[in-house]
Amino acid sequence: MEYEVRAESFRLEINENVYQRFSAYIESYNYNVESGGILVGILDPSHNSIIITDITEPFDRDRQTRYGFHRMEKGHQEKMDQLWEQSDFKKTYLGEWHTHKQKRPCPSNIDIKNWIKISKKNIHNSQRLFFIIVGTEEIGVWMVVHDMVKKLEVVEN
Amino acid sequence: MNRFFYESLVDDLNAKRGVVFLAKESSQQKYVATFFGCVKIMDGSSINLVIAFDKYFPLRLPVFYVNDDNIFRVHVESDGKICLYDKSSILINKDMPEQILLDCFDQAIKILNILPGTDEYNQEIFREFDAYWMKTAKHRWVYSCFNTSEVTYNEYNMLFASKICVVAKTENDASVMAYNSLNAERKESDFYKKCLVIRLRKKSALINIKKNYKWKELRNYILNNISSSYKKKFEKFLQKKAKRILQYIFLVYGTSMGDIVFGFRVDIWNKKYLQISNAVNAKIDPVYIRRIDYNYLLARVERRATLKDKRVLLLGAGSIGGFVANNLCQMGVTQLDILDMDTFHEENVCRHFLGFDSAVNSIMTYKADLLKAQLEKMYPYVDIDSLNYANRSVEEFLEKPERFENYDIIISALGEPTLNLEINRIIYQKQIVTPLVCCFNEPYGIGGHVIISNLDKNSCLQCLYTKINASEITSFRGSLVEEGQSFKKNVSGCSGAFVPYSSLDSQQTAILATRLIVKVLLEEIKENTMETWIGSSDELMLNHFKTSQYYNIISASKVCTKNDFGNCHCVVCGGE
Amino acid sequence: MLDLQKEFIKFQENIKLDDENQKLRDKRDILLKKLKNTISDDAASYSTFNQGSYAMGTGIYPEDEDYDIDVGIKFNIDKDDYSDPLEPKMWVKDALDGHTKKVEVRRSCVTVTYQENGESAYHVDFAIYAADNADEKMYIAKGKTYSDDEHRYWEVSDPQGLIKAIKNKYSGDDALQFRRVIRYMKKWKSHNFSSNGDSAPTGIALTILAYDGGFSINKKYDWATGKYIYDDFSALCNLVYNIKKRFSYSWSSEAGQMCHTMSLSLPVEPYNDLFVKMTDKQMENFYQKINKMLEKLNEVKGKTKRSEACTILVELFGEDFPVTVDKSMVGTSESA
Repeated sequence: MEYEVRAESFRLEINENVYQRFSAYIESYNYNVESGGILVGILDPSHNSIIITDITEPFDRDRQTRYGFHRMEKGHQEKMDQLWEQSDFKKTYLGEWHTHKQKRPCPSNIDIKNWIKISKKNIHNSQRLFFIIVGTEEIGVWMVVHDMVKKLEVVEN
Repeated sequence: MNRFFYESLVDDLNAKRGVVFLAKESSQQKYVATFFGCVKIMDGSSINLVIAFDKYFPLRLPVFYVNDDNIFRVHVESDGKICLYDKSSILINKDMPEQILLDCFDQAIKILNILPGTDEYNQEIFREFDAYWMKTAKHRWVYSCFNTSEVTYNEYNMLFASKICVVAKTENDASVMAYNSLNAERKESDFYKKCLVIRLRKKSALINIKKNYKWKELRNYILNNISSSYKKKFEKFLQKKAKRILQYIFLVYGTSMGDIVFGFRVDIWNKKYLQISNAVNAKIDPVYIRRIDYNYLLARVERRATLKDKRVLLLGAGSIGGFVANNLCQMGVTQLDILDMDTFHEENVCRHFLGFDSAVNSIMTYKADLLKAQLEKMYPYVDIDSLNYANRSVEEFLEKPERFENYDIIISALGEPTLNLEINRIIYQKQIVTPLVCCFNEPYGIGGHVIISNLDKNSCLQCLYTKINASEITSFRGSLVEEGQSFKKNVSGCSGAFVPYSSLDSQQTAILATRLIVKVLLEEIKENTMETWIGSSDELMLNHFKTSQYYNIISASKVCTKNDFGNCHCVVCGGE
Repeated sequence: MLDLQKEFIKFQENIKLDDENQKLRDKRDILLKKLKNTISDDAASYSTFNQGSYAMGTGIYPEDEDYDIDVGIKFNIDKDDYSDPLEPKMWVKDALDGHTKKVEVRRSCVTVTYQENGESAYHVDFAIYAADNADEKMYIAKGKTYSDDEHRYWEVSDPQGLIKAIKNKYSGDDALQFRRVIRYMKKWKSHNFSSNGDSAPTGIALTILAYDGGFSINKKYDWATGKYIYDDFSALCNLVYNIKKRFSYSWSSEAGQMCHTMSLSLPVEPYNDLFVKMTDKQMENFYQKINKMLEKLNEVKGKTKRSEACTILVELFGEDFPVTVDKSMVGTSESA
């Protein structure tokens, strides 16, 4: 899947295997509690694109409730480090994802605040971070531009 | 051994040295055989001599006694026993008893031939004066803690506490010493008394050691051997009229080997008021001085009096820090500030200078406080501040880095490279000139490091943590173990995590660190230096860890010194 | 400054192409076999040698997959016996004609373009030499089929001397850095100049710029490991800086403007100017690109994030340069 945001000259690609994981949530997830994790991928400046290649999924320590998902560092960091080393130090943290019991997902105020907070930290390898919500029927992709949350559009091939 | 054995030995001596020693019963039970004879010495006089063997001969040397007069002789104790040798410097060949007796006899004669007025005599007197004076003074002694080098003609203070007496420059000095360091019990009957402390003129005659002195004799000795300005003051004292007076007088005699201090208790009682000078009834008792002043205590270490004035900051009172603190105090550092936020527990005992008693101390728990208490108890002049403000954390301390400027040296025994680098960065940035010494162990006894920086601008601590070809931070480049291995051991959970090294490793690192710290304080080291002691890799290998390339390069030596560790990519100093 | 040595080494591995490459050897050997089997009996005896960048150890994969293989053919003839240098060239052309897609006689070589089914195109340039001359030098046959006499001649040439000079300039690990940095320059060239080769400096020109004082070994002794640590990035920066300095700025009547130009001689015979084919305007363009490259490299020096440094280097060298990133800190996240 490819996404783009208007007025930004880059593309976000979601690898097939990642897309399938999200689809699996849409198809079979009971949505009794929220799930989530981090987005991992590579930067491809020669093609002006960013590719999401992996995601992490909830670990035991994460707090999953009916209306919220609190992701801890433990587990996700180790998985991230492992992916980083295995990829010859190319894979990086690219953002967050979580599920919503909504047909067409829409970020909550908590989500938006959290996304802006994460994007503001100048510790990330990628200038652009992405935030995905997996709904019950479709997924939505957002990023933070100048402290504003913007939705990315699917590129029709 | 039977009598015949000793007699044959002495016969041999008689034959070879042309003397006549004959067996004779002695009243002293501790000897199994005694021989009496007479020897002639260089000034023509004869001395009656006793040779005595105890049952341990030849493991113990025969004893020679001067059996006559009251004449004072060097190396001859008050009971007449001649001190033949310093035992620590000779090795007795016990299979040659005849030779032992001959050698001892020759040595005895040599000693008896040291005559008054000769250089050797004077040298010996200087060296042994305290020992002789102690014998002379018998039970009469006082502690002194004044700095003898400051003495001119002074009126100092004596504190008479129960069982002890202390002479000091001020009453306060005397009381601190008596009650805090000497643990004297404070009693209402304690009292202060003034005393005279007078420096004798250079190259004046040292007083003859005798058992009894007359007042006139002492008075004249003092008058004849002090400079004219002191003489006026002393004469003034002598002109005072008194009926009954008890005066202590302490005299300081300078020699090339340091000051000799000896004292007198002058007890005068007249029937009417008379000038002290002309007192009729006076009892003069020699007083032995037990010197516990800083210079004297340190004289055996080497002359490092300047360390007393150095202000030292020690960050970290753990395994290495504890030993460093103790070593520094022994070397003569007196002004030490210790910052550490940890508490001391039983499990620390086997890796720390402090002991079990500290771990179970019910009043104090912090390592810094316990070290302060322990070291101040051990070393009377040490003044330790355990920096008990804020939260005792280094991070907090770094909030006001200008504090570093108050010190002559900063020692980090934190073992936390991140904090060490932060200190390094701050002192560089703020242009603080205080030298920084970081010391830490490597695991499993493979070695330890002491890094001195901020002495020159060619390198800094961060150079050692900077890649050789980039300004990126990397793990310690001088490490003796291969990068990327984790040595933390866990006994119980995170708080119990520790790096495996023993107390000996910490002591070794602390010794190396202290040597270098002293050199830095005495300005004997002027450039940034990394010193590494190199231990065995056996235990490391046994635990399936690997040594670093650097270890392999330097492992042939025991200690490796490096000065040129500057790195041009270093973002702090830009290296050289 | 970041440590980018791993990235540069990986980059080099991605672009490096040399004589050890089996695909290249195979392609060359097929043609040489063909030549041997079909060359006319009238032709003189010959021997062959590899020349060009692959032989010098400075070859890179071509952007367009059009491999360029250089082979020297030394005929055992005296140039004075062959007043027309085209004659030995035709021995080669005629032998290979018909066996491949296209064989053409070019000014300095006979070029055979070859394409197997489904495989990428490649061409082999056969440089034809007279090797048995009275003065013991080698001469290359110059001229095309329809060239007039003026453009048909034997030119003294020392291709093996050139290879030797480049190969012997440094030894051991130093030589490897020398070759790596030349490869970086060549990759930069192919990424930054349009495929119309004339406007760009030739590969040999870039090689000689490095050879002739522009490059110096950049390595540092590491007391901790007892080894030398190579710094290709700094060596490259230094080379680019030296190339920039080599230009002189003067009035060009040819371009009608001030231009940055330089001349550079081949270090072996015939000592020709390696920029002779570039116009002053093209040289100015070359200069501007070098200047831009230097700016970008300096920008890299100031970067503390690996991803940002690599992004600039991708801009300079293309996607063969790996985009590595620093360790990610994932922190925590709250969503509802």
